[in-house]
Amino acid sequence: MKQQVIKAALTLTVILTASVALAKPQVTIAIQTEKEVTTLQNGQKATKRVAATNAAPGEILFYTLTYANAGNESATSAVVDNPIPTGTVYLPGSATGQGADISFSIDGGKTFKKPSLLTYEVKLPSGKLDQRVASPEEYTHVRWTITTIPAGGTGKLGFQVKVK
Amino acid sequence: MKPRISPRLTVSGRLFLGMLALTVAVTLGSPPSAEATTAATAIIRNTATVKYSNAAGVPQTDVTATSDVKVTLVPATPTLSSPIDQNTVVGTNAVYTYYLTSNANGLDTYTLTSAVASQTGISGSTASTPASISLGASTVAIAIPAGGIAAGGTSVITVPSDDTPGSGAINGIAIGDTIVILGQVYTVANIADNGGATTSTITVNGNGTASGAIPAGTQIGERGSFSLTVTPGTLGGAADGFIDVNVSARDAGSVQPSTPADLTTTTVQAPRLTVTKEVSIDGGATFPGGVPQAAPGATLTYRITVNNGGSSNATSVVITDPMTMFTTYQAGTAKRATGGATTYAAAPTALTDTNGDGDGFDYNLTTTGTATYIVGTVAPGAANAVQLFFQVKIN
Repeated sequence: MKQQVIKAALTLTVILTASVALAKPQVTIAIQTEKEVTTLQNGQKATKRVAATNAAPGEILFYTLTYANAGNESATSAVVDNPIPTGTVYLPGSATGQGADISFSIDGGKTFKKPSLLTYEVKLPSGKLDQRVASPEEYTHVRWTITTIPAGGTGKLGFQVKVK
Repeated sequence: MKPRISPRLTVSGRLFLGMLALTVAVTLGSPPSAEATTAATAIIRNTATVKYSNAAGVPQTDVTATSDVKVTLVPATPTLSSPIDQNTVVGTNAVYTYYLTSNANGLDTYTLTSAVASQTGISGSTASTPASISLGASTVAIAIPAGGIAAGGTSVITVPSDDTPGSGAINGIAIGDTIVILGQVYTVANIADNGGATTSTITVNGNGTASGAIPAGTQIGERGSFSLTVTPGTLGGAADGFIDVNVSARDAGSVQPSTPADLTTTTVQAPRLTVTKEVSIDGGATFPGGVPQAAPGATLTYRITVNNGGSSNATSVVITDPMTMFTTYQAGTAKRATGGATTYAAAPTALTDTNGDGDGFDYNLTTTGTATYIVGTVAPGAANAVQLFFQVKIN
């Protein structure tokens, strides 16, 4: 009984708030940057991820983007754009995001496509145009498209780059 | 016929594969310095932007987040020049100019060491260099097309900004510095020292040759110079001495993969004196070779020439000449000339037979029956040759 009362009270609070302010979604995003370090534990090598504030050329950075909807209404057609940071290259196949549709750009964010559709044309010495599939090093942007983020919903997106 | 052809095909196929393998090996063996890098202290800024709409499809305000990572210094083995060996003499230092070029991605200090590795025919020699040298370094942020650094005028190179904006130096590279890009040497004409995750620029003067294509990530290393001073000790004998000196450079953190070293051999040249004695029977006008004939009572004019054929000063030179049998020294006839061979009459400096007059010459005082001439220093070269004249009479 007690629990039900509390639940009811909570629901009431939510409704009351909603009635005061207009219902709206409020999406937040945070970036966590990590790198892998190898440690020796009991004579065994173990890798662990630590927060990265600096990195040497050649090191791999793990970016984790945490999004959340702190609002009281669903967010729709959420598009997360992340340019590949200057001084780094995208690591092939490293982009992740549950429930998100992942696409990439090779033209500075003008157009986004699936990797297999990312092509560009090269003029051969013969004058013929040759269509080539872009390599991951040529990616300029990653995009995650999330159809709906329900109120209170959160999710994680990720990708990795190598410091040039 | 078939079995005869197929083995040949197999052989040529193997050859072809062998060539492929060779090509791959060559590609893998390219120097690591050519690898693209990012300058130290540059900021790698990751920015994510979220665009979204509400349930009714009305676009909402974008939200963004950023995360910065600073690039760390990767110490690299610097390139040390090899100056040409030098000759010197006791009393004169040999000074070598060394060039040290950074191969790192940022400012680093290199500890310089010099040591006399060995010395032959000479002892007590020393060598010294400054204690350390700081060299800046950066990387090319935006690829430069072929000819992008023009032969003349100035050209702008874009580099990542460092963490000290407005300091007038980008990762230790300042106006007037000498920098090396893909082996080409430039002087820095100007600097735009921005901060944050932006780029800065280094303006260089053309070096007379238009650049080739310079890919992004190409290392830019400052080239500094320092002096090695070799101070000769004391020669052990009449022969030349040799001083071997090792010079090396190591980053202050002692992280660089290897230590470049250079060995110079300084030759300390010993003086080489020659002495000739000639005789004249015509009063010193001509000094013919062979054996001139002269009657008792005739005057003979002697010319003694001391020449230094080495390359260092001969010091404490003394000429002594005992009178030969059957001759008598003629008082007050000693004279001196310097340089090319001259006649007795033309010799400019008269020498007195007594001591204490400062001319260094005496007869019969320092040593009985002997002409003694304390010359002192004879510098190298025929122009500094010393000629001593005196006359005797045949008894």
